[in-house]
Amino acid sequence: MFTNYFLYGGTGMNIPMLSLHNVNKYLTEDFSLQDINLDFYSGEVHSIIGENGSGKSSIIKIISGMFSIDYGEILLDKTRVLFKSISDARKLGIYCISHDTTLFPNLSIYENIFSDAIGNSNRLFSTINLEKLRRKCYELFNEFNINLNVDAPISTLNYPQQQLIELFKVYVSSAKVVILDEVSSSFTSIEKNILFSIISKLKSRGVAIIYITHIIDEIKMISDKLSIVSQGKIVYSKDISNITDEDIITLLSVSLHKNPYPKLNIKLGENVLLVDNLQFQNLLNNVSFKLKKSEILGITGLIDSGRSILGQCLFGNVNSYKGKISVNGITKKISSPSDAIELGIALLPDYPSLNSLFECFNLEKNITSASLKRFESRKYLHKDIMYEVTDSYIKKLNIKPGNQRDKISHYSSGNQQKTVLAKWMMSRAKIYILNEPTRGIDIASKIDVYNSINDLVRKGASIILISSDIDEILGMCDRTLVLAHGEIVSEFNRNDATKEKIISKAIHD
Amino acid sequence: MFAIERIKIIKNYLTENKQLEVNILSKMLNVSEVTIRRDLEKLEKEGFITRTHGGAVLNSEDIISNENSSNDTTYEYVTDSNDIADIAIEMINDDDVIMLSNGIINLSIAKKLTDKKNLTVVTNDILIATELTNHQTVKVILLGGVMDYSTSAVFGTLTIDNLNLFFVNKLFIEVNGISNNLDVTVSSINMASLIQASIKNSNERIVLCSSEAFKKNSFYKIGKLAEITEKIITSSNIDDNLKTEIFNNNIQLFTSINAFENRI
Repeated sequence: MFTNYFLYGGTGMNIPMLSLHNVNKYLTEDFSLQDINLDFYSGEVHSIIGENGSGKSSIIKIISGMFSIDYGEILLDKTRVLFKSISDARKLGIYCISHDTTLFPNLSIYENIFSDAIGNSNRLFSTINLEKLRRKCYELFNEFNINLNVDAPISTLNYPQQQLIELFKVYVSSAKVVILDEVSSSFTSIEKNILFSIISKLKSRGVAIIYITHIIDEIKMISDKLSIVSQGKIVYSKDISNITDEDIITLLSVSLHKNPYPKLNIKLGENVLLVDNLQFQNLLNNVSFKLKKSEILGITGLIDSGRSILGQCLFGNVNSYKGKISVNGITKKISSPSDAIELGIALLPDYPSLNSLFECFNLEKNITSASLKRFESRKYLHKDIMYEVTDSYIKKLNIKPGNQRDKISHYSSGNQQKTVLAKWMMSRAKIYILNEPTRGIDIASKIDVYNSINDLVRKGASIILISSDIDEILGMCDRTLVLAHGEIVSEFNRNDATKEKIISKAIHD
Repeated sequence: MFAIERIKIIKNYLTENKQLEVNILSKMLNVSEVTIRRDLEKLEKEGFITRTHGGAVLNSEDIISNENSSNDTTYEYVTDSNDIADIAIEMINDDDVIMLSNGIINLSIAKKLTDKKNLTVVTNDILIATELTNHQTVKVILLGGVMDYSTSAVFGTLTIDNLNLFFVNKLFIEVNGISNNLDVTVSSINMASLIQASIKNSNERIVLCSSEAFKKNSFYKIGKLAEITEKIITSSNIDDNLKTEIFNNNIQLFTSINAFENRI
């Protein structure tokens, strides 16, 4: 019933909807995009993969109108186009969804989904039938089996839900080309199913979809074509039917070996954490491992391998688990975060701004929030000492701008991440579970995070580093566990681990 | 937390509150009561406070605040070298043969070599050699050559000839300047040629410098950072752009973050 509201992309299958011809773009002294040729066809999903810094996001920025090109041409529907801004591209039907959401937090879900329609109504004083939009949204959610209140403000949703709303916003638009930039990285399998059904409906409507991911089984599942970007060039472009898993693994791992990770080889101590036969719903199964003093233990796997829920489990964030967790020889049921904190366990969750910062508080309150006991004396807090100690952490971890009164919600994700780290360090936690600590943050903050990890292990703390960035895992960890379907399928010591081995274990078992 | 920070906090606290109790401060600053008492002794010697049973009281106002911040910077420089040396120490194993070029960071490293077994150190720095006479478990090879009084180290063809007799598995190079394009420089032509020669006689190289080095260029060029080394240790407050540049050049950047208080 909804298809009535949508425009159809009219192009035939053999003429590309969007093409890049010999596109060149100078970016920095050492990096530029060179002779990019890509064709995107109506009704097809074209996946693009590549290392961080390979140039894939620059290509996306060119297509979505954020970057201009130096040389070459872009054809949309056989017509040469020149985008001067994102809105130029959008007017011609090119939509992009990425990590950053562009929703209005105080408006309701349905108002957000139809915000483009509302904003673009032609006549100045045309009335907007909100009730009609609300009903449409309700029907839309029914169609996709989504259980969200259409009137709820966006600010009450978590990050994956907000990403879904972005998807629906595109779904109700008249998009011809849709770019999905790592949208699935925060999704559980439920949200992924919704994503895939949206994609298949968009396909049947004739939309060309550009899909950026690093999750290999997704590529096989949904794409029609695959292109690989490396060092600013397209090094590979093929129909998916001609590609095997092995091809993809080799293609991913032949790319330049990079190791700019500051790893110190600290002598490991006694076991500090023992996890025995951990089980949680059907998400974790028979998970057993040990963590030594001063060790950096890597945990990797695909998005639904259970890697994040394992962190949640150890921090007492899940309702109940089966199995045994002991810290320094003491076995205790960890049924809440405060149990975990008491045992010296800290969690740096993915998306800190949503999961572990007090958005409305300032920098000082966020950093000291786990250490108030330390500064308490006779029912009062010693503000001046708290101020000085906090200042010392801010300076040492280079948290910028770093004024204690700054509102934390204005900080960049790198500085937010360092703030959470400072909070736990100040509280003297001993075991740090870091879930994707460097995803989406700037390189300088990344280096600060790695060196803070070194500071911790040097002084006897232990780290569980959960990451989907295999270079990071190889670069920083003493030992790595590979998870798949909630089970540990493989364990590698630092010297034996390779990218190829880890990827193949993560996707095959 | 550094002693200097702690003493600053104690001073501020006393100026606000006029008196303090050792047990409260020990809890909040996360150090033992003994450490706080030692800090208080120091402050008493300065005439800042009078110690009492279980605490201290502030002396009258006029004595305070003649402490200026001018010696803060030298202190910072020393603690900075000390923190950089703490990281470097983690890269040195028993049985290693290392070379320490002349400089204050390398001198700090020498001071920390006590726990290493069967270590051999080659150096052109007389202060480093003297320092190492304190722990005789380390075998020291002091290169010969012409003495340079400003650095207390030896240089020249004699030193290089001497150096060519050895091959070290880790070379710690202390440098004076690194430009935005990551050109590495030192302050004399003699030092530049010595370092170039030692690079050829080493298996692994680690570049050391303070954050000051990134703000100035010295005159004598050794080469591009990426051609010299895979590892650099410096302080954590260098510019973000430099961090990014070093990372993108595929060089491991260790910074002297020393935030976590004490050991576990």
